[in-house]
Amino acid sequence: MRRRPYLLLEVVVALGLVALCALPLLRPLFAATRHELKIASALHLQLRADQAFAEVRQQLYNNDIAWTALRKGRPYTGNLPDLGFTFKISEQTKFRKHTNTGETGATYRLLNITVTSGDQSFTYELFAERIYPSVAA
Amino acid sequence: MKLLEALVALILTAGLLTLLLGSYLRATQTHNLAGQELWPAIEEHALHQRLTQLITNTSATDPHVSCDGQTLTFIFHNDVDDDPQFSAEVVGHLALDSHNRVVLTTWPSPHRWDVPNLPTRHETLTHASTLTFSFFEREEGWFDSWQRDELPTLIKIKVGDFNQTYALPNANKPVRYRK
Repeated sequence: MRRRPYLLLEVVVALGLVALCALPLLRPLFAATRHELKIASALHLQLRADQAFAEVRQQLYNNDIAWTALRKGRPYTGNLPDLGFTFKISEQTKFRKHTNTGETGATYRLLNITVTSGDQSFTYELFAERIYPSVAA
Repeated sequence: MKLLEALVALILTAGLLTLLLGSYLRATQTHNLAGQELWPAIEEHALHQRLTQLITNTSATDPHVSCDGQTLTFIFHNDVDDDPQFSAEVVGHLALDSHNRVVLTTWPSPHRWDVPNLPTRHETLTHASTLTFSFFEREEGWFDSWQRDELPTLIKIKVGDFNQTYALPNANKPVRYRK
């Protein structure tokens, strides 16, 4: 009995099925690549965010940002163009220390400093104090 | 199967294999490029973590930091170590060696171990062609060298393209405003 030969169509379908089975093998490779790029980007961003916070901290140490600009409910915002970040300083809490005579000796503010690049934000905390002249002297 | 059909099938197979292997090759190349991007990022992150650990543990009770701009000598708290001489406060020395390696050399603090021939440890942090330091003191600004008996507020460390600023323990004091 003579066997029926394979049709070209059948061969093409078989090859197509093989291709369909092989393509998922590439998916983990693409996923791993995406994941690696994401990690590299996150690590870079974390380093830049730390540097951005150091810049803001330096501005605060130099009193480049006025004490009166750090009010509660009115966040101070600024730019760090070299690092590609914006920053926001908001007051988290405030308390006063009084002298023995009842005068305000110092005011303390706990500041939240948020540095933002794109949709990624990092928040740091820093204390600021304002010493009144009679106490500072 | 006719010869023509066999030829067409072979051509289709060859085309399909080319497509699949080409995709695999491209995916592998992209993966390698991602790896090349990732590895320096991991190295920088590890360096940043180590420097953060060192600088934030700088001793506030024995505030010794000296720097000529190229090398930094400081006393830091090394936590717990198998060797008692390397536990707690030790002296650290950060410098670039002749093989372009950023090396941290540590030895026991002479204040705690008054013995001759103190042992040393060497730790390679990374490879770089340049290493510079600068120091920030509040109300004074930046300095390229530091020879005082007090800690600066911030230290900026540049290792090649890596540039980070670290806060020393006394930076935890509040930012001060005077009326």
